[in-house]
Formats: sequence, C-alpha cells, structure tokens
Amino acid sequence: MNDIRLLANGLVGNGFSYRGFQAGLDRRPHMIGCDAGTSDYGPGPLGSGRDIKPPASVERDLEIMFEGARRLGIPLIIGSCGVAGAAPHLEGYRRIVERLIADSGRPCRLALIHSDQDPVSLKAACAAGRVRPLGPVPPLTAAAIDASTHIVAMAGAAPFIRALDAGADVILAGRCTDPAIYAGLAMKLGASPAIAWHAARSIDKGMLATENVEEGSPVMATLDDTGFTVEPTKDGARCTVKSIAALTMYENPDPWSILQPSGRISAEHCRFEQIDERSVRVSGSEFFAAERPSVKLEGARPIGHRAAMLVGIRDPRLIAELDDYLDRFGTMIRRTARSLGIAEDSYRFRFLAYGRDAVMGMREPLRDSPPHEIGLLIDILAKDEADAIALLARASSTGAKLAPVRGIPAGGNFAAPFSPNQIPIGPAYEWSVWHLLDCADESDPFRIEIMDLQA
Amino acid sequence: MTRLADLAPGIKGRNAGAAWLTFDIPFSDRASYERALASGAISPRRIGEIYAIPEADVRIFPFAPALALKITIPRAAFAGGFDESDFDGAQQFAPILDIEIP
Repeated sequence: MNDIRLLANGLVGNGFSYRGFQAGLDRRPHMIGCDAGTSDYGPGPLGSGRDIKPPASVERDLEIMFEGARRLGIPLIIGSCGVAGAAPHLEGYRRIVERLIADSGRPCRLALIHSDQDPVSLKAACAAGRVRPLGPVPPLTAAAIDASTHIVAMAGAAPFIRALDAGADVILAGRCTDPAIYAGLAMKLGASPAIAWHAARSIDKGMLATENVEEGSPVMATLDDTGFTVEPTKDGARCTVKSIAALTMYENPDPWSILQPSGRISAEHCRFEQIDERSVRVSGSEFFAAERPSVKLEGARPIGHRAAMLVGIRDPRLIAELDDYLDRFGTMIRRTARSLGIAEDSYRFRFLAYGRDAVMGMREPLRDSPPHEIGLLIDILAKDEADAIALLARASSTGAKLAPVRGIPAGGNFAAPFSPNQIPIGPAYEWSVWHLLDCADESDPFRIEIMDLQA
Repeated sequence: MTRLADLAPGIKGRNAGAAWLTFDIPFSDRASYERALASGAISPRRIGEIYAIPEADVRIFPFAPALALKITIPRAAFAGGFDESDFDGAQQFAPILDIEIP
C-alpha cells in the first residue's frame, strides 16, 4: 500500500490557520476533512433545526477548504453539517457549497449523505426489535418518534465509501461519527480498518491534536502498512505523544472500546512514539468488527418555551435561609400561575443558586459552605412564550418583595443586572431518541444523493 | 501535602455520551503518573465517596501512553433535560482536584 495522507481541520466554524492549511496542501493530501458536529451543546440545535456557529465563520472555513480541494482535485468531506446534521442543517451547507461551485467556474460532483430517519421505517424497526436504548433511556415508542422534530442516525464509514465510489468531489454529510469522514477514504485506498479508524480518531479534532492549540494548525495523518504518523502542518506547532494519546481517550467512556457502527477501535495494545519534535508515530491499533452493524440514533422534541432571569443576592440573612426562602418563593409562583389560569401541568420552574450548588446539584460536596453572594437563576418553562414571560415577570416582582427571612420585612431581594431583566430563551428541547438501530447493512439508514453541478 | 491538581494540572471533564461523565487526568511527567498510580489514592472507592455513588459504578483506566488516568462515572441525570446545569459535563471534575496524593 502506498502512503495515504489525510488533511484534517477540527470543527467547521471554529477557524484554522490559513497558512498552516496551505502548507498542508503542499504535502499533497489524498483528502481534506472537517467535522462540523457535536451533541455537546445539547438537544437545541437538533430540535430547532438551526446551526449555532456564526454563518460568516462557516462560510470562511468552507471556502478555504473547497478552494484547496478543487485545486488539488481531491475530495473534500464534511461531517455532521450544521452541528446536528439533520435536513435543515445539511441544506444550509449545501447552499454555501453550491455558491462556491458556481463561483469556481468548474463543474463539481456533490454528494449529500442524508441522515434523517423516516418515522414509518423507524416505527417498523422498533416493532421488529431492532432499536435498543443507549444507556438509561426508556425503549423507543411510536409516540416519542412522532413527538420529535428531527431524528438522525450517525453514519459510519460505509456511506462515505459509496459516495467516493460514485466519484464525489465534495461530500456533505448529515450526522455521522467524527472519524467516519476519514476512515472511509482511508479504507477505500487500502488501509486496514484498525489503522484507518485509529488514525481518523487521532485527527478528527484537528488542532486539538497539537500541544499548542492556539496556533490553529491543521493536522495530517500519514498511513502505511504498519501504522500511522500524525503531525501539524503549520510551522511552530507540535504533536506530542501526550497530545495524540489524549485524543484516543477524549469524550469516550473507555479508551479500549471506542464504538463505531461497524465495530470498535481499541488502543489497549498501542504504541505511541515521538519520532521528531513535532510528529508522533502510532502502531498496534486494533479494530474489532461487530457481529452486526448498529448506528446511533439521536432525536429531539420540543418541551415548551423558556424564559429566565438572573439576579444577585447579597443579604447574608437571606443567604443563610436560602432553602426556606426558595420554598416560599416557589409557593408564590404556583399561586401566581393559578391566578393567571396557567394549568399546573403546563409549566415547570427551577432555581439554580450559583455560588452554592448550581453546577453540581446534589453532588456538590461544598453545598454547606456559606457563600457571601448568590447568583439566582429563575428558569421557567411553559407551554408558550406568553405564559413563560407572564410567569417570570410576576415571579420577578414577587421574589423581590418576599420577606428575605420569615418575620423580616422585605427590602428588595434581587440585584438586577439588566433592564428589563427577563430574558426570553425561546423554544426548549430535550433528547427524545438516544438509541441504537441494528441494521443489516450500515448504509441502509442513509440516503445518498449525487448531483453534478455545472459552474 | 500534594493534591492531584499539583501533579496533573490539565485535568478535564466531558460528557461521554449522554449517560456518562469522563475525567481525563494527564500527569505532568512519568514520575507523577507512577506516583499517583502507586499511591492507590485514586480508587473507585474514593471517587465513589466524592460523588456519592456506588464504587461499582466507577471505572478507572490507566493509559500509560498519555501518562493519564481516565475516570468514568454515570451522570447524575441523563444529559440535556429541563434540569440540566452542565450540558457538556465540563465542570463536574472540580472535587477531584483536591484528592491528596501521598
């Protein structure tokens, strides 16, 4: 097998070094890849169908990578377009790339990998026992499927290989695993699954593979028959054994078992060597094929509209009796809701006491250490925006005038940082689908669309 | 007294999927890694005490190539619901910074 070179950036819309990228192109890579997705931001992007990266940054990153790929005549592969990888996210990226193709003056074969799941087929899969919970979630029901605004499956390498076999110049994918965009091309060019997958996993966060992340350097993996080497492409950036090995661990519960649709990557018997001051050699990676493929499903459903308010509390008497105060405050909010005719089961609220236990909740070991100041977040979820704002506005005045401690006259409990202080958050979502779908062929859940676009 | 944060200042925490939290603890050098490992101070029992969870729910992986320990525990609640306060699980590692390493 000849060497395979994969040029990688981390996340579309987060930027990268232009100079480092051009230096990467000088090394004649076989592809350019960049992931665009994450579920780290919660269910909001998937539920709403909106990207959360700034459009100007997304366009800048795509334009530079597109130009480089077309100049070298190599595939550009973008994974999990628009953060969540559902139809509206993919459509946003398609529009940008179509404009780039039109501006380029050259024809281009564009492949779209659609990850959206059809509710009817998904219900059939549930009925056939092919859908399993991923973690502590209830079994998937038809009701949960119907309540979801978007449900996507995460593609592995196989759909990418199909798109490449069809001659795609640019592949825009809906939801997929981060390394799949590289592993597909590497295996198509002859790399073993173990080396392809582990190399892909080592570069799929782009500049995070380097020690000096602030340099924004793209990274390149060079694969051969016995392993792979990772290096940054910008002068001055460095990959170290620590920075590369850390990526194998990152965001995975278990470094010996990094799950993909077609099997699992294991670094248990791996060797990492620093071969010069900026490059790391990795060998001994393993890949264990699954008995049958399974893809992860993600879905989000709307749960209402949200409005919130952050206020400062400095009165030490109130802080000392905060739980009692919040009990009384909660009772007042429920009373207000009744007076406004807001049904009890149509809204929820919570208090987060920043400075005490807002971040860790019940797990906070220092909950009883007295703070001198509290940031109190009052968070209301209601069936529509009008109810949420009405409840919050009333809570704002009620809470401010409530006795800080029983028996002490109210003096104004809230220091407000904004005017007006109520913040409409908008529609809120939660994960409705977090499951695994067993499939006969890992490409089955995905629709590949190929189009020849003329400049 | 040496704390874990003195030997591994780059501790970070993240979600590993929506059901798990994982803490990556890269040590500054091999001596610190081996010292922490040999001390037994970072055990499922100790982590279980800190997070008030059964020690059987705590998984610890020594990963020598990265001179790192990885600790994985269940999230207090499945990520991303109405009550979520740390969508990415980014700040749940704080209490382990103070584990004493003999």
